Amino acid sequence: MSDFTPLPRSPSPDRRGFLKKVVASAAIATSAGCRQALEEFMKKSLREMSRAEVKDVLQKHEAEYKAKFGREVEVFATPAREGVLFGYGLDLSRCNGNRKCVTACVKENNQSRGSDDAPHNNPIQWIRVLEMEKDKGISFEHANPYYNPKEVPEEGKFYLPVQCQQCENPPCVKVCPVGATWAERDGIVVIDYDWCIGCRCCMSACPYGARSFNWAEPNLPSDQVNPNTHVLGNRPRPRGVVEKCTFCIQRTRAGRYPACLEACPTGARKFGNLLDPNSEIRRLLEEKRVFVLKEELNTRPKFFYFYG
Amino acid sequence: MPLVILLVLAACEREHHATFEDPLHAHGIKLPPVEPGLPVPAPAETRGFPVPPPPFSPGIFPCSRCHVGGEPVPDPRPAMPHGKHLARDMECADCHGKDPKVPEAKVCFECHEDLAKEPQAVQAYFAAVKTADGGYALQRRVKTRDVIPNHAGHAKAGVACATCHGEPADAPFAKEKSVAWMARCVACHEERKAPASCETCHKEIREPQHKDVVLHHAEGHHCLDCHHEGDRDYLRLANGQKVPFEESYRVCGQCHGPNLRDWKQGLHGKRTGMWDGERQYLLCVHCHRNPHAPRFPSMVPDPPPARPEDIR
Repeated sequence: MSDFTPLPRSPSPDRRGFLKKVVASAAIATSAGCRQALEEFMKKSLREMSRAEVKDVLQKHEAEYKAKFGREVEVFATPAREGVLFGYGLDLSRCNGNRKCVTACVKENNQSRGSDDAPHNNPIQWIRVLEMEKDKGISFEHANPYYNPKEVPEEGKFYLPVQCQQCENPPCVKVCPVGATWAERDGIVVIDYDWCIGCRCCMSACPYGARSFNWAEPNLPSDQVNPNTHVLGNRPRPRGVVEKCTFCIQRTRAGRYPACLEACPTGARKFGNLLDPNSEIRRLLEEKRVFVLKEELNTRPKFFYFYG
Repeated sequence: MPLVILLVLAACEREHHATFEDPLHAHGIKLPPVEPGLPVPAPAETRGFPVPPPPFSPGIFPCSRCHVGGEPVPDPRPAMPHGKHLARDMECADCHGKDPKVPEAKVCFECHEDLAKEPQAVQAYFAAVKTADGGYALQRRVKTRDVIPNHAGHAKAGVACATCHGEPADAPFAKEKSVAWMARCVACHEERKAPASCETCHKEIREPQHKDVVLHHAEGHHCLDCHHEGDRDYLRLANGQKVPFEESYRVCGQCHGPNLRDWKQGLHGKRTGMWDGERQYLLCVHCHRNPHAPRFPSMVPDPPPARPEDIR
């Protein structure tokens, strides 16, 4: 090893080292608040984080919500279970368009409430119940989500609730320029709200109109916060991110039925594990003639409609 | 099949006889105590998971509190010897009047003028029906607190007294064949195409909890097609099998077979709880609320979403 001559050190510092030094010195120089913001800016996507880092993020969120809402909000990151692939069924012959599912969903998932008193009025609903005419069949051109008669169901009308279809081949995931949305192993398409840049490409890519955008700071009164949250699901969202139905990830990964299913007074909604041959959803697929919305787009939804 | 009908009719007669006027006080019958929240057994079809107590179930207020079952309680007083009177070419209306009712004692005394001169048997009869205040109350064998017999209507339709009351005799006939037992009423009404709904005959007894029972479901059926005739705390299948209210889906499923099949698999109806664990099954009556009018009601929809132009 006598002929070993070490390479001379590069006279100019490399780019990475330079940036590190700049960031470090800037961090020391600036106030604590600024440092936090900088760390926030430099952090990794939730998918790339180690378990310890995720735990750290959850704690930060919990502290943030406690300060914001003045109450304990638990943020979980329950992972997908092995051997579970969620599927949903909806009986169109039972649905009478009462929108109880929508109300329950807003309550469960901490969506922004509509309020004329709030500085912003940007109500968000993950479920959209479409009123359609029996004469025309399932025709999205003639669908009306704003129906508001005194009583439902109305003569000659039927109702088609639409929410995220949790596609096996999700176009929204393909178009996201930053990889902030992806399909989990149990089939739920999730959004990392900290990684979402709010470009809304996914919204235009989704053929079901299932995604919503927080145009303003969500209007979520602290007494209405659901404190049982999932980091990829119903935790309170910041302004400028996209959100959507996650099959109530905070409930279903804990083994419970989704909130919309439990709220439905007509029993039109069915849910279960597609990989379990004895589950309700599998019985449904085997017994009934089911269909999916916009099958021709090859999105392969895991949300099945049927006439029971 | 005729045997089954006969058995049912016999059971109906027995049952209906039990609904004497004020059965609680007149006969000193003690009511079973009210036990709120009786334990609800888990039906076999729900894989051992419990069901919430069904509405209309006898859990809170047992039906048997009022619908006292079992053998009729005999009236201890002797029967009026009708046969002896008819043998003297008397007509029913002579004593019972044109609008028939149980006559007052003074009608008797129009013939039996001096009780002291009457034979021993007659004196004994009047002694037996003597009331505490010195008057006489003739026995009312046909006491049905819930049925108003429309005598005028029956007479107009040409129904003879004996059709319902049987041929009067000296023996205490009331027990065997006097009263127009419900099953016989129904059979006769159906044969004559007369109205045969509950309201036709049962006007007075409609207890407060039964006043609202209007059958908008399987019209043409009768209470005892689904309710067990002998034990009102139970329902019954068409084959007469007793079914507890917690398994009422078996009664419903007799006609709604495909729905029962779907319900067992979780494809019809609603379940709450865990998709992979303990879940609560809801029975037919939990959603269809009123089994007598089970059509799912119209609902007021929750408010619609905001239109894009209203978002600011």
